Amino acid sequence: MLAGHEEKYKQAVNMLSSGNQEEQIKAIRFIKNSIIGNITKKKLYMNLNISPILIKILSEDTYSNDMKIQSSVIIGSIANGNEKNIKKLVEDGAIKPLLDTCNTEDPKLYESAARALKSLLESDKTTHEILFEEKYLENIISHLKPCDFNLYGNIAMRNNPYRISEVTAQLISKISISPEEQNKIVQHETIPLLLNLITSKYDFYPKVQEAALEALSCICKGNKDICMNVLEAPLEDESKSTSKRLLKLVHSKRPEMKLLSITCLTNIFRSGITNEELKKEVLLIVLPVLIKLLNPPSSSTSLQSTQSFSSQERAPMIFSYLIAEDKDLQKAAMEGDAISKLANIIKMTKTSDDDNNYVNYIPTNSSLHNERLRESSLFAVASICAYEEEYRKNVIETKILPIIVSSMYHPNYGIRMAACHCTKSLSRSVKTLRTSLVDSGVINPLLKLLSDPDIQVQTVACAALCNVVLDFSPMKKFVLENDGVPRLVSLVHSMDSNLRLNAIWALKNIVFNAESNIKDQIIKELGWEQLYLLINDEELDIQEQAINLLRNLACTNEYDIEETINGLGETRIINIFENKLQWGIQNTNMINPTPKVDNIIIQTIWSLVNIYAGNEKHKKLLITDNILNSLFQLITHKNEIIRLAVIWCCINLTNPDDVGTPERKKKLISLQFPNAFKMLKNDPKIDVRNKVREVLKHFEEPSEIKSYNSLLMPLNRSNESLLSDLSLHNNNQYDDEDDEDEDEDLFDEYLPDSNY
Amino acid sequence: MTIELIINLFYYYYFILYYHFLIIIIIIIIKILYFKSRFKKKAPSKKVIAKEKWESKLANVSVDKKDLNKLIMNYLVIEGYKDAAEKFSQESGLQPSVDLLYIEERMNIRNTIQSGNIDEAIEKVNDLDPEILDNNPVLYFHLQQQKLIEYIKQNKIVEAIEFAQEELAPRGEENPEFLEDLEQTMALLAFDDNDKSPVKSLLEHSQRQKTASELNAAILTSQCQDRDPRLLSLLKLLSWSQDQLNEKASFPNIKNYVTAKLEPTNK
Repeated sequence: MLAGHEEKYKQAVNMLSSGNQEEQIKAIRFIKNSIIGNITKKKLYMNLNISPILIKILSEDTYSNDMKIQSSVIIGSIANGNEKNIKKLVEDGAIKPLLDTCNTEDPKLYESAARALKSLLESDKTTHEILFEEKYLENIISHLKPCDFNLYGNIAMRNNPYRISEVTAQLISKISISPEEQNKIVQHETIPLLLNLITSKYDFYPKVQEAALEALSCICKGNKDICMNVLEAPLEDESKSTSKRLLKLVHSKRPEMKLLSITCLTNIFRSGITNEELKKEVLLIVLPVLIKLLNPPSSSTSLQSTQSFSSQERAPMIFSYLIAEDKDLQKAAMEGDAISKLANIIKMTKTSDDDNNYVNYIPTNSSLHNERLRESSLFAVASICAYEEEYRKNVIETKILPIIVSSMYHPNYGIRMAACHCTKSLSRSVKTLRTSLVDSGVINPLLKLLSDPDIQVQTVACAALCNVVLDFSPMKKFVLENDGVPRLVSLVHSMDSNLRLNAIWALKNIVFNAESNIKDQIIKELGWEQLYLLINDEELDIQEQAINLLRNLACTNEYDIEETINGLGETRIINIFENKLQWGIQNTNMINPTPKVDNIIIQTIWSLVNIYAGNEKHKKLLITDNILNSLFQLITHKNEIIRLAVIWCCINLTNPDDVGTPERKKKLISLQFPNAFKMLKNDPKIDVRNKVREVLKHFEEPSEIKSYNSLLMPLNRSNESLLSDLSLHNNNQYDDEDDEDEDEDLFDEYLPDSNY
Repeated sequence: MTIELIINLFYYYYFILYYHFLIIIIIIIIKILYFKSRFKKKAPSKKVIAKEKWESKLANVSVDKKDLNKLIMNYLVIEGYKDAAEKFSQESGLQPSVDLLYIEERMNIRNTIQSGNIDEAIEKVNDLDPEILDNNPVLYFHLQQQKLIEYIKQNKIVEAIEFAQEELAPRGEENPEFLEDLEQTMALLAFDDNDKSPVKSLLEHSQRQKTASELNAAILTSQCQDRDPRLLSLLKLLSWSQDQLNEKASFPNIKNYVTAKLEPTNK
């Protein structure tokens, strides 16, 4: 349609290569002024393949600094927020010449080249290793130091020294991601230079303070050592200490400044440093200010610049990260009315597309803002109600559940993932599982998301499903009837270990206390061979869940035990127990045993307890010398659950009514089991003391205790809360300490990234 | 010395006195309000403060000269009185919060729009800071809309239509909320006699001023300056606090904000 107009743009591009310098500069300025703010023109020039020409101007010395400045500005503007353009520019090799250009003496040229680099690094797909080359990194960081005003030239050539520090700090924010990168960056005096920029000296230049705050928060994120350095570094400011200065900036009147100083304090707080004073300040100052920043999108968008948009979008994300692991903060947030504020934001983002599951959804500029707001707010809701039943009730009462469900159909994967997180948090409550969640119809999209194209969405959907398939939930049946099992089994084969872990976790929960036919159905899909491989997976978490699955399979009745032994094969099952116990003992004796080792031992012994509840043949098979020796060594283990489980093993082996008990007792006595148990009579844990008394009675004269034991016996075999394992996390009813630990691990992996 | 500078100098000497006066009044009123609120129940009758007593109270309040100077600098910088700001900076020893050359350039851009030369203004603002228009789609649309209006004013109908097709239609596609403004502007073309056009206000000088202020505000924001001088909020505060105190006491009010004259107390 615009063929006629296009001619003039083509001509401008051709003029760039003309020999006449005056024509060149005229052309490049024409191009610059037509693309700034103009998305269609950016696209048009990219289609005219302007990118190699711009890069050539930067690379060759024959071009003047002014040409290079204009060229950098054009690159920066074309890249601004457009993934596709960024990709093309990076592929054409824009990064290196821009970095070389940064080594210039001309401050204005440095500024525009650094700005262009910043735009290109805005996409997380742009690789940035090259920036860490010594000749580049040192030069960039040195520009954090504001130089004196240089008052020469016209306005276009003038530079503002603070703007150079500002763009440099922004650039540093983009490349401080991994701990290695953070550490490399702070080697160059970066911390004092950045801290200088946040002092009151620069109160007239809030933008440079903001850029420095962002860079500080990026180098601090998840890096305890750097956080300590930042907190302890001297500050030339009336506030004296970094944390006091940051708290002062929290009270700035600029929302952007508030949010960035909060981000900084949040990242320091979450880095794992223990600082009681900081915690108090976070609770009393940072959190309340942050909650005030949780605002619904305003209806009068016309005058709002993109900046305050982005701080609106980020606030819930930072909130979510701040409170994620801390129950005190969650409580304070709830009392500060954060749930209803977040729910309001989520409701404001509701459109008619929510009613028809985003079938014909076309994103526009303003809907993108709504998308990001919804995503970060859903994450925040998931965080706040992760642990407390009461908060979940509050969330349900805000009536956002239908929006959570429709968000699972959203084309934006971040929103789908955030919705899964919410479902996961809400499904930790038995009450919501039985009522609201069932009524909401969440199970349909949740099952669908197991096959999502995005692996992270799959992983979180699977984690949510873990809670949904528990025994008492009506949704378990739905999963079984709608091909849930084959889908989960296919995920068990995933290359991604998180996904593998969640899939096996969900299967384990389905098998918990299940009918034999359900167990058969699952093992038919999974295969014994696969279970054996998972039991020996390279990831300890997966091993633990796989052994837990074995424990749940071999539970409740003789048929199930028989099936398990036959399925795995006698030799292999003996192998599993001998190896796992021995491995556990070896690794416990190491200097730094992890809780993961304990967890594997626990699951292994409980599996034994279950099989020892079977018939004489089953018992006989698994009382090999190796197994009994290992159990003996674990009697005095420092973990009381392990001690308890070993006692349970012996109780099941010495039930007075069972066939073969006298021989087994003889064997245990010859191995000194009763003597070892006597040492536990004064165990600090009451459960252990009670059970050890019981097992010691088994070793007394059979005639005296026979009648008493016949009362106890059925209890031994049907006490399912001990014999098989249920992982509904952080629920009061099933609050089991070791499970809670596992769950925190699981949750941790999905914490949102505040850089996002 | 240019005439403009003389006027400006007059302005700021006047402002020093003016600001001083306003602040003192506000401080006194707030003090009285605070005092009153503590003894609310005991003092139901309206207190009467005579003009003499009020003036003696005013004389007892001291305001830091430095704060006052900052307020004046703030006014001069934001309203764009570059020469006056420069002179004031020399006399008061106060550093302006922004490079003074930027004030001049900002005024320059403002005047360029007010004289209808949109392309030139765009060039200048892009030289000043290329991120302003790139990150502000609403402002960019309004500048292009103004350019379309200028074409229509000059009766360049063919250019106007081409420009609308090429530049404004894509903006409408990107942001549907622009379509209404765009339609109104295009409606200008439908009337031969612009006086009869229902959208004729777009052709008036006030439309240029509107666009110019929007751009001016965006530049100020990009330099982290306030959009309006603090004086404006100070006057609002004065008016509000006088109203508050009028409910509880009779005292000499300022009714004319230009002269800041104390009216005698109503009895």
